[in-house]
Amino acid sequence: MAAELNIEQGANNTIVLSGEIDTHTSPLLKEHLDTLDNATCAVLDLAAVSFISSAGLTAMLTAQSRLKAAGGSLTVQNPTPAVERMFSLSGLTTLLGGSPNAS
Amino acid sequence: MMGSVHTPSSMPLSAGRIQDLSPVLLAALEQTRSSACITTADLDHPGPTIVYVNPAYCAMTGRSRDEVIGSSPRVMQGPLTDRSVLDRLRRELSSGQPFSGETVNYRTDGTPFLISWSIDPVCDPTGTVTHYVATQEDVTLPVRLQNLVEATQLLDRALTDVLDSTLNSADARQALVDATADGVSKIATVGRVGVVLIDDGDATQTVAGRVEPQENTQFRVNFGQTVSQSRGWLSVHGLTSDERAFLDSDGLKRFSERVATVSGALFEYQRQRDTAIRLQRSLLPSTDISVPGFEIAARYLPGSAGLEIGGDWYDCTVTNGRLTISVGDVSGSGVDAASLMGQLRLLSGHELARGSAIPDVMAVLDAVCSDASQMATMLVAQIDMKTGNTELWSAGHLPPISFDGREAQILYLDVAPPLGFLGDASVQPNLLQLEAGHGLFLFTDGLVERRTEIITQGLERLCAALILAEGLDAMVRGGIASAGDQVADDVAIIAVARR
Repeated sequence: MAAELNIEQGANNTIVLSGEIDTHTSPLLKEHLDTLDNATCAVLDLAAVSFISSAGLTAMLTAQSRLKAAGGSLTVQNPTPAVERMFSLSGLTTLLGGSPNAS
Repeated sequence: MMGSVHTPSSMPLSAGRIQDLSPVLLAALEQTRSSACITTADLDHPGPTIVYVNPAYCAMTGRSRDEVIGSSPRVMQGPLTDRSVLDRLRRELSSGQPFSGETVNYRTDGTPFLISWSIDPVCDPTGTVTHYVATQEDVTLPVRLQNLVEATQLLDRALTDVLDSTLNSADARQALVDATADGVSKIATVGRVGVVLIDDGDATQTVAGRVEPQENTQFRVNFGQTVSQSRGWLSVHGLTSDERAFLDSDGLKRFSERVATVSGALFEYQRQRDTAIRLQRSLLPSTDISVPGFEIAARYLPGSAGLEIGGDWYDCTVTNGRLTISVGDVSGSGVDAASLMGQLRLLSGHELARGSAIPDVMAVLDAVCSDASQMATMLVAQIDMKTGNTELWSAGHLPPISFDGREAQILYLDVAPPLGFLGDASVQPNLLQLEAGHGLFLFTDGLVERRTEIITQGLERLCAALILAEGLDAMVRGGIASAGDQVADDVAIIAVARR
C-alpha cells in the first residue's frame, strides 16, 4: 500500500528517481532537493517513476524556483507516459522542460 | 552420556561400567538445579505414583519430598491446568512416545506457575516401560516477558492499522479496545479479559471481549484526552480469582501505560482530522446553490486516508450577469492547506465582485501561493448567463468534463502552470458555447487519480460514469461511486447545466 521512492545522486547533477512520488514520498524528494546548492543545474531522471501526485509536482517546482532565482535550473528527463501526462495536464511541460522518454 | 543409560550393555565405558557410577549419578540428580521427578508407569487412575523427586523439584513446587512421594503428579494440577495438554500427554505416553508441553501447575500454597516439562519412558532391559522420568522448568518469567512483548506489538500494530485505515472514530476506538483486550489477555497468560473504554465527554462506552459487572474492575487506565477532548478511562474485567493470581501486575502496568500513549496518539490524530474536516467545510459555500436558468450541484468529500483533508474547494458566484464556477486544490493537506484554501476562495470572490478578469484573479492568487511557498491548481468556468458563451481557464488543473445528456467528454484545455508558479506565463481562455441542456463537470484529482494507471484512464472512467447518470445530483453521486470506496485524497466537485 505505502509508496516507495528511491533517490540516487548520479553524475553531472543528474538525480535518478525511481518509484512513486506522492504525498508520503514527496518529503523525501523535497529533503534531497533542499540539499542542492543554489546555482546547481540539476536534472531529474524520471524513467523509473510510475506515478506523480501534486505533492510531487510541488516539490519539484519549489526547488526549481529556488535554483532559478540563484542562476541554477531544474529540469526533468525521460518521464514515463503516466508522468508526462500529469505534466501536460498540469501545464508544466514547458516549465519543467521534460523531454519524452527515448525508449 | 545420558543416551547410554537406556542401553547400558551396548556402550563400553573407558572409565568403567556405568553401574559403577550409580552413587555419582544419584548425587548429581540430587544436586542439580534442574527439577526431576520419576513416577511409576501406570497411567490409569489413581496412578502414576511418584517414586522420586529431587530437591530442585521440591524448591520449584514448594512441596516436601514426604508430601509428594507416593502421591500422583495430579496434585500439581488445578483449575487453570490445560486439560487438552494432559490429554495429549496421556495419548503420547500410552503409545510409547515421549512428551513435552506447557501448562499451569500449582505450588503447595496455591500459587499458580507456568511449567514446561518433558516426560520420557524408562525401560527395563527387555524394553518394557517401568517408569517415567520427567524434567520440569518454571517458565513463568520468560513466558510473561514474551507475552508482554507480543501484547505490545499487537497494540502498536493495531494503532498503525487504524492510522492507515479508513475507519471512523467509533470503529477506530473499537479496534484499539479490541487490541487492548487481546493484549491484556496475553499478559494474563490464562483467561480472557473484557475491556470497557469510557469516554466521559461524549458518554460513549466501547466494549471488547467478556465483560463482567464493573465493580469487578481489575485495573484502570486513565486518559487525559479522548476523541471528545475530555477525560476517559479504560477498565479491565473478567479474570477469575485464580487467573488474577497469575496476572503479571508489573507487565500489566507497563502495558497500560502503553495503552494510554497509543490511545493518546489515536485521539490526537482523530482530533486533528475532525478539526481539519470542520475547518474545510466551514470554508466552503453551501452545496445548496440556486441560480436562475442553471442547475448546479456541488459536493466536498474529505479524503479517507488519515489527515489528507483540506485544500480542495469549489465555488460559485454570480456577478454582472455572469455565472462563475470554480474548483481548486491546494497541494498538501491538513489545517495549513485548508486555511490557504480559505484565503484563495475569499480572495477570488472579492476579485470577481470587483469585476476583475480571470487572469488578474489568478495573478492575485498566484502571489498568495508563491508567498506561502505553496502550489494550488484552479479551474474556472465563466458563463454568460444570457448567451451561454463560456470561457474556461486552467492553472495546472485537470480538465473538466462536458456533457449534453447523451455523451460526456473530457474537455482538454490550454493549461497554464499552477498557482504559485504562474510567474509571467499567460493564462489563456478556452472558449465554449454552453447550449441549453449542456453542462460542465468540474472536479479535483482525488476523484480520478490512481497510482496504478495513467491519469487519462481515470478521466475516461469518470466520463463513462457520468453518461449513465440522469440529473446533476446523480452525476455527482455516480462520479464519486466510480472512484471506488477508497478515495484517499479529498475531492471537490461542482457541476453546472444550462436549463
